[in-house]
Amino acid sequence: MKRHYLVSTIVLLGAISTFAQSGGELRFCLRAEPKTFNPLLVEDEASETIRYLTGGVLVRVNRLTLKAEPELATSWKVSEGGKRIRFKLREGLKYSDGTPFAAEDVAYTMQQLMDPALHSSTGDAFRSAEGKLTTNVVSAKEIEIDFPAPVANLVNLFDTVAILSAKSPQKEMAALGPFYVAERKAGSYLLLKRNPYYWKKDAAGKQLPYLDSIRLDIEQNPEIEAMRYKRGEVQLINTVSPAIFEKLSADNASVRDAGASTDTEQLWFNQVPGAPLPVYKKSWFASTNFRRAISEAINRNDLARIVYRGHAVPAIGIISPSNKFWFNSDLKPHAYDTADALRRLQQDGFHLQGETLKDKAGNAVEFSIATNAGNRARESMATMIQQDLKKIGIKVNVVTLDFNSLLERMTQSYNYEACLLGFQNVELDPNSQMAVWLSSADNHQWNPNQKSPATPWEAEIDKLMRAQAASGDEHKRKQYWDRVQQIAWEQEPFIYLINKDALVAIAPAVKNAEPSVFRPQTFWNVETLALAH
Amino acid sequence: MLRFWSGAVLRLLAVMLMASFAGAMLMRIAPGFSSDDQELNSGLSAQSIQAIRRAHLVDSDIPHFYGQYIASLVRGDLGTSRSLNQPVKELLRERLPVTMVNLAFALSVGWLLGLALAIAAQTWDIPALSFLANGLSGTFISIPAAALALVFLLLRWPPAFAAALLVFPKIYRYTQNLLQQSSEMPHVLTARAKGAGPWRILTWHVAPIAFPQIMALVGVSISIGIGVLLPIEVVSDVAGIGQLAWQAAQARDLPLLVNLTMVVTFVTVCATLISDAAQRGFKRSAA
Repeated sequence: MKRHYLVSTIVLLGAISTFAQSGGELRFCLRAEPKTFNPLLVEDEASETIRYLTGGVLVRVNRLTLKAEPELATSWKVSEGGKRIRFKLREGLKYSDGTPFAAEDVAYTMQQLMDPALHSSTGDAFRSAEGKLTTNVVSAKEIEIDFPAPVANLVNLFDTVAILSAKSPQKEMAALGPFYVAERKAGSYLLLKRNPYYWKKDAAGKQLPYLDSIRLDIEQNPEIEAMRYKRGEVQLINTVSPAIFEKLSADNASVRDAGASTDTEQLWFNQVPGAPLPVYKKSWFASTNFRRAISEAINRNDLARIVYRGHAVPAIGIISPSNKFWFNSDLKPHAYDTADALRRLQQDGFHLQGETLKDKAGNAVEFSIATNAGNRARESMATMIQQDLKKIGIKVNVVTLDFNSLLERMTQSYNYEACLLGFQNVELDPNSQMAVWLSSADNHQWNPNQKSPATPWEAEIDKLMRAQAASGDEHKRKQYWDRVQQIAWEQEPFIYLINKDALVAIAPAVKNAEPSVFRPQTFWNVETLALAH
Repeated sequence: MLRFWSGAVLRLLAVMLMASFAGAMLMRIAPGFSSDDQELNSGLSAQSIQAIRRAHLVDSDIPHFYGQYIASLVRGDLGTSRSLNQPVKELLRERLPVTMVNLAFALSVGWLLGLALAIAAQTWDIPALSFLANGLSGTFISIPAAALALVFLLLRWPPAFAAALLVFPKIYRYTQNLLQQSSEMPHVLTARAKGAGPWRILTWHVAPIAFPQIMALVGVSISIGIGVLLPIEVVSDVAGIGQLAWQAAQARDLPLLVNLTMVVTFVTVCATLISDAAQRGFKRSAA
């Protein structure tokens, strides 16, 4: 009899657990309407979310282990020093509309992606040299892709390549991922439904995903999003601001600090030779001593403690310590030391006259920091930097501009003195930083599009960046990248301020959530997310 | 009559063209017109960034842009939104009904409330009622649309009702003044002296004088309604043309903004024309 009860209980618990892991509609918000449903043209965060939830990829980078895991491809082999990759594909898979998946689809996707006229950032990441990509469909379940030159981080790049169907009448709307777009009301919401042909199963053999559908409400205002989360109308918030985090926390809503993210906030000085700035200011900004003095005079701990309410860490350099493999652990945080800052400035002929710092020609040191209006954290940081620099006799004016105006000054007129902005580092590999650190690049913000490197240290960085991109040896690449980080730490063309934490909100009803500091923080394991009934 | 309508249509077209051209010029001279946030995307190659910049340059020659826009408009093509990457025609088809329904609701409720209170205050001389009506209209006339929208959002009340409450004070005040002036006219005073009841005075003596001017307010109230509804849509995240206009302005989306200017001008001018026509018709029949 006892045994009978035990068996019944196990069966019942099993049934309850299966039931609890099935069905339901998960709701969360997108901050904007997706600009495209074509996974090859994704540039904005909303489209990226749709791609992640609907796209089938050959490999997926696990957001906790950062290792590439097999998805549509069961295995792969990189050869020819990173120029060739051969994928073995899963058999018997179908798109959401029932169209079968085959190696031709991978070839079709790669050809489309690498079309230079497409101007896709996903495609540009594979473009390490001029020349055409070739695909060789070995069989229905095997394909070989040849690139004109070695591509660094080749396997992980396929994490963002959603495989399109070459034959489906639904074109890019046919999904190989766990969900497909079933309904859309412009400016209002998107409804994703479970892909009936999704191939993945859990350990018990149950078809994934557990969720029936995901409703993505378009909600631009984070305050309203938080209010709706508190009311239980949405169950996830992927990025919570520190102020809202504290508010939700005070209201006993379920929020989590996943730790320091890879995003950076930085200040830089305009070093463009043709910028419409006085010559003496250009010479300040070009001086390493000046930049390092400013860096030393900024109290980063206070920025993290006050502006980010403790949900940030003082930044050390280009790479956040959370990017464990690529971070140069020999680098230490920049000290907050106003005395040393003044000593450095004196080396360049600056001197304090009363409470005003003057350069050797007698010009009072005063500059403006431009940042984007509406970003409260940046506005507060700029104000705190203003207070910090006042202590060493520097007058700072804070200028807030709408984003497009700021961008025009940064990229076209170069009419600014210093700028405070943040970068979202989605890719962890240093290759994704080529467009920032090469002196000829457009995003080399302090002095972009240089014909030849303006300084010896920029020339050295150019050499190192090219060397890491060309090498297939990860350890060599790490050495090159460590040296780049060292130079950036010494020269401080970007004065890195803080790495903010990845703050998320996950309702207790959402089961199996394992927030990561890497995007998409809350739903990277969406197939196994479930709702408690 | 035909002359009136043909002249009106020509006026409408001229105003729409002028307004959209002025909108395009203002957008062109706005700082940040030729920049795109994708320029900061470090994943894009130099060639892709150059392609983005070239695409922006095409729109920066306003006479050229406008000429092409009009040519496309004649063919029924409203262009493609730069920021939302969708045909403008589709965006308007999806969003315009939302705003129109909200506008109709806001105007109906605003007019109903404004007229009812103005008539009640005029017909029955109850100080408490006048105090209440004046207090309500005074309160809602001084609350910014965005602030009221936030309150409604917190209370989960329909945003169109917030717009109605912001339209109502203007209707109430104007109508109440008109009724007041009309009720002080000699023939009304005579009717009152002869013992006519308040309802008869209103319907037979006051309303016929005030009606043509109230009709003129219909056109103006549509402009007022659109004016208050646009910020409310932005704050409350209503997927109407107000939210679209805000996004277009922020992203310097010229094709979208020019079309939105056309639409808003069309609705406003049409409303004014219709109320003008009704006013003329009423005067002619009264004569």
